[in-house]
Order: sequence, then C-alpha cells, then structure tokens
Amino acid sequence: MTAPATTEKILPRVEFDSVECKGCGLCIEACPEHIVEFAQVFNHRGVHPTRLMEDTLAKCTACGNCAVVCPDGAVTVENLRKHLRYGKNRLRCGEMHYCPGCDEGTVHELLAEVIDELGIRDVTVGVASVGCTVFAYRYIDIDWQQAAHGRATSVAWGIECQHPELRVFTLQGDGDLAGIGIGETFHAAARGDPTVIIFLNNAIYGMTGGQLAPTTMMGQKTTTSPTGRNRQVHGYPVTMTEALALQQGCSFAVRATVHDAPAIRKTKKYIRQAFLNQEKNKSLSVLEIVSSCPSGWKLEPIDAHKYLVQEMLSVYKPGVIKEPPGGMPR
Amino acid sequence: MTPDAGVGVLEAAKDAEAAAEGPVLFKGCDAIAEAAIRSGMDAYFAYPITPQTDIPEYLAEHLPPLGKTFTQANSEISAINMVYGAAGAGLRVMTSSSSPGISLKQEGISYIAGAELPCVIVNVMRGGPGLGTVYGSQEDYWQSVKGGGHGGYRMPVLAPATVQECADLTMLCFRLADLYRTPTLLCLDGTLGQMWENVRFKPRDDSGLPSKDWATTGTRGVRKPNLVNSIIIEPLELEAHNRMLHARYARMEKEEQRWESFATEDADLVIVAFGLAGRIAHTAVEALRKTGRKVGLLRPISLFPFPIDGFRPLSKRLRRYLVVEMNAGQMVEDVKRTLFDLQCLDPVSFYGRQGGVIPTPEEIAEVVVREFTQGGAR
Repeated sequence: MTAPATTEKILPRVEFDSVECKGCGLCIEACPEHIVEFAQVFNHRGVHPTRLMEDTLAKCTACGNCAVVCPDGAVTVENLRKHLRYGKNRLRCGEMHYCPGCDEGTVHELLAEVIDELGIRDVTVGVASVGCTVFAYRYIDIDWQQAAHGRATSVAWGIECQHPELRVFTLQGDGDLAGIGIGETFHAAARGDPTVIIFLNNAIYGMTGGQLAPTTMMGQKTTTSPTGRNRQVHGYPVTMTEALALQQGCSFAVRATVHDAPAIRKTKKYIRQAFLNQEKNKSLSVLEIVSSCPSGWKLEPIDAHKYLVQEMLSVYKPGVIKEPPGGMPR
Repeated sequence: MTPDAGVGVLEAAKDAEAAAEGPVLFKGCDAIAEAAIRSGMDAYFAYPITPQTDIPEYLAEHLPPLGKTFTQANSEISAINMVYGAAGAGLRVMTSSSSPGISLKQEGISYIAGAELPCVIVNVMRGGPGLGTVYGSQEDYWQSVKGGGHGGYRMPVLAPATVQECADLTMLCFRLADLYRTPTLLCLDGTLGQMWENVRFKPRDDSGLPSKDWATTGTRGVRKPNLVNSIIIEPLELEAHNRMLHARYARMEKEEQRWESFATEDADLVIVAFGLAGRIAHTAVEALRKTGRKVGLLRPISLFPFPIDGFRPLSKRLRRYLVVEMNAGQMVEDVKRTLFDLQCLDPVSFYGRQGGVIPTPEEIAEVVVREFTQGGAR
C-alpha cells in the first residue's frame, strides 16, 4: 500500500439542498470561486434553488462561506482534510418561516452552534418576543418562553431570578427592544440581569409588513414613512446599544453585522463571548446585530446587504462598545 | 417549584408551629403578604401604588432573607411579565397592585391565561375611572370577572371581607392557581387593605397539586424541550386550545363556588354584597333582625365562579333581593342573570355608593326599610 501523494487534493463534500433552498442567492454572492449558480428547474417553493456548477468541485476550497451565509441551513460543506463541517447545527429544527434572504435564520444558526459548542443546551432557556422572532422556539431545540411584545427582558428576569444555573437569552427585534419595550430593556441593564440580549436591528417592523421602526434610517422609506423618515415627522433613529452600555449593570455591549461570511463569523465569536460573559460576570450582555429585511425594505437580498453596509453601518457602527471588566471573555 | 422532601418536612413543621400560634394583629395588606410567604411564594414582582404599597413594603423586608426574590419592577407591565417568566419557570409567584396598575397588567394577564401559567394577582381596588381616588372602592368588578384583558379568558376571583379572609383566600389563590394552571385574582377594596384585625394563619394545603413538568427549567439532558407560549396561529388549533380552557372554567364553576349565607332561610329580603360592602351589610342585617325585619345576606366570596349554588335554595320561594356595591351597579348584572338562570323572577333592586364613598350600616338599613314599605319596585 502506498501513501497518497501529498499533492493529491482531498475533495470537499458539498451539498445544496434544493428543497430547503428559498432562492435568495446569498451563497452565489459569497462564493470566492464563483462556482455557485441558480438551477434551471424550480423547486416546490417556486424558486430556482442554487447548486454547484457542474464539474467545479475541484475548484472548491471548502471555505464554507456558502454554508455560513445560508439563512436556511440548506448548504453543507465538509472539509475532509481539516475535518471541518459547515451547515445546519444539530440543535436546529423546523422549517423556518422567514422570507428568502432574511438574516434572522443566520442568527438562529449561530445561536444553535454556540449553545451546542459551549455544551449549555440543557440549561439554556430562550425568550422569543413578538416580532418576526416570536417563532424562534420552533427552530432551536431548547426550552423556550414566548413573550409579549417588548417584555422579553422582564420575562427573562422572571425565569432566572430563582434559577441562577439557567442560561437565559432573549431574541428581540428593534420594535420590540427599542420601541415598545425600551423601558423593560433599559431596566434590565440597570438591574444588571444575567441575561444575554440578542438584538436584531433591521430598521423596520418586519412581521407587520414594513412599517417605520425606532431604528429606521433617516430618509428610509417604509409603509408609514412613504416619503422617507424625516426629522419633523418621525424624529431620529434610536441607538440602543450605546445607551445600554452606559448602565452599570450592563457589562458587555457589542454591535455586529451579518452581511457577509467574515461578518457572520465575527458575530458568532461575539455571541460566544456574550454567553461566556453571562457566566463570568452575571450581568447584562447585549449584542446588537445589524441585519437586513429584504421583504420590508423591498430589495433583493444581495441589494439589501449592500444597503446595510452603505447606509446603516455609519449610524450603527460595528464593534465592541463596552468591554467587560477583566477584558474580552475567552 | 415543587419542594423536595426535606423542605416539605421543614415547612410542615413551620405550619404546625403556625397553627399553634394564637391570633396576631395584622393589617389587610400585610396579612396578604404574610400568607403569600406561608404559601411558599418563591418570587414577588410589583410596582408601588396606593393603597397596596404595604404589600411590597412587607415583602421587601421579609422575602429576601428567605432566599426568595423580591423585585420592584420599572412598571406594572414589567412586573406582570416577570410573573409570566417566573411562573413559566415553575415558581410560586405573585404580583399586587391597585386599579390603574391592574389595568396596565391586563395584557400580561391575558398572556398568562393563554399560556396556562399559575400565579396570584392582588387588586386592592381604589375609586376610578382614570386616576380616580386612593380611597377604596369596588369599581373593578367587571374588569375582574369579565376578562379584563383581551381574548375571553376567565380566572378565579376571590373577594375577602375580613383580614382573616385576606390571609385565607391568598393561600387559596395559590392553591387554585396550581390546581387549575391559571392566574387567580384576589380582589379587595383599599379600606380592607388598610384595616387591622386579628388573624390566625392556617397551614398550607398542597394536597393533590399536579407537578409542574411543563416548566422551562432547562432540559437537563432528561426530557424534550418545554415551551411556554400563548401564540397559536392556526384557527382550528386555537379553537381546540380555547375549548380546553373553557372546559377548565366550567370545572371551576362546578367545583369552586364560595359564598357566605347569613340569616337567609326565612328572609323576605336578601341583601347580596361582596367584600367590604358585604361586611357592612352584615352589620345592617343584624340591626334589622333586632327590629323584627326578616332580612338576610348572601355574600359571594368567589366572584368568578359566581356562586349560583348559593342562590339555588333561596329561589324556592318568592323573596326580594337588594344588591349593595361600592360602585354604580356591576355585580347586580350577575345576580339578575343568576336568578334568571334559576327561573326566578324575584325583584332585584340596587344600592351603591361610588368614588371611594363607603356606605354605612344605617344607610343600608334605611334602604331595606324603604324596600319593605314601598314594595321594592325595580
């Protein structure tokens, strides 16, 4: 038996699930080798699912970007040489109701991965409050409580107050956290509840069909700001994470984004750090994730990410806003 | 939280000690707080509002030393949602407020009812509408028994008339909450909340309570994930859920009616009054009996379920009814409905004071005498 030549390439295993695929095309954009395309056929959703171009597997570097950016976990990449796998985490369940290209699915995947990798699944309780995130309980296989609009952090405190062993996190949108629930959120930071807040800021009310949110950008058109947000009628966008960071009970505040694979990988690191900080400092950790709402913004998913980068990131600047005492958790 | 054996034994010992205790002088609000502690309450969340602030003040002092949670929330809305979270995590939990604050809690109460979470809510009623007054009233009867929040739910509503009942019914509220997986409401007026009387605390009764295996306490590697939830999008599924809830309400109506009858057997006129109004009417009945008037009192203790069984024996012969309330006439609707259900066409009249005004026994006696002399036309 001869050892394989070192120059011989071990091909990755790549799988595009044409049934799960919602045809957003984010994987096509993410592929550095440009070897992903839309299939000619339609799937049962009436969209062209994506696939690897014929005879291109040898070109694939198994970077996993296509799997990382897929909000629906429809792509799996296995790097057989490095024993790395990118794709749906085992804690993921259910078919997501989110629109094609919605970043919320991506965040679900990251959450599932972090909970799984930290080995805290058995003591984790999620709180999903009203907005598109309200059905989150269908997609990650842990204990959940669904909360009223804006009240997630109060519900979280109720869960953890006599259960210090539990790891409680909330998954909240901008209307929920920065609009109707601003009081609840602010006081969770003031009390220093040991909650992890995952705050999805997509600058719009998604579930109700695209109305002005507290975080809508100046000039941004929504169904209730049809000529664009202006100061006289709607006031200015709310920057919540900076406000929360000012409170003593908030020990970790960071803003991330999920518009491309590197950003998503960084966001996963932050989510992990938020949960580590929860354990270490027993006070509030808030992670704002600037994300897109293609349906609400009435943009193609790829264009929505372009808008996010061009317009949102100058107001909602990514990065660590408040580092925990003793430095970033590892 | 289901106590383990050790804790249970400990608490049983404490209960025995409590039962041996003589009566102690307590304020209505404090008796509720103390009874909650003796019910094994794990957490309490509230926001200050007159005239119930004695409850959070008492619990702020006495709850944390027991290792239990006391949180003064940033609003009533926040407090009721903390109750939701804590009840969902399997805790025995309570909140208290007064009328305007209870209005703020209604959204949360509806969610709690929908998600089938056991908890106790205390409303120390004051005069309304709006900011109204801080003086006691019974103007929240409709809000208490007809839903209050959205979605057509019901919950047990208990109305004490003495400080002793404040204690007893608080403990019963905790029991009914766990027994039926429901929010329960203790409903009293501000005057009773501020009244001092002797109380003897009774031992806690946890017999026959179901385990809380639905609570979100982490899967612990031994079970499938639990979900605490009130969103059911599919109409047929929601209808089935609501039918289940309403079957439970029907069971409460069958099993949990409570009332006090006083001198009703031979009464030609029966006063129907709850809470403080019932207590005052009791004094009026005693005085009227001394003058030879055949007057009795039926005092509903459970406002939901409404005690139709208390009326059943009375409906066998013609009498007259006078409903006395500290509002413009709310429970009187349920009295009329109840008599109608019993196919009883006896005349029902109403006397009420509003805005925090408390009727006197003499005033009520006068109305009764007028009813007798004028024939009690409706």
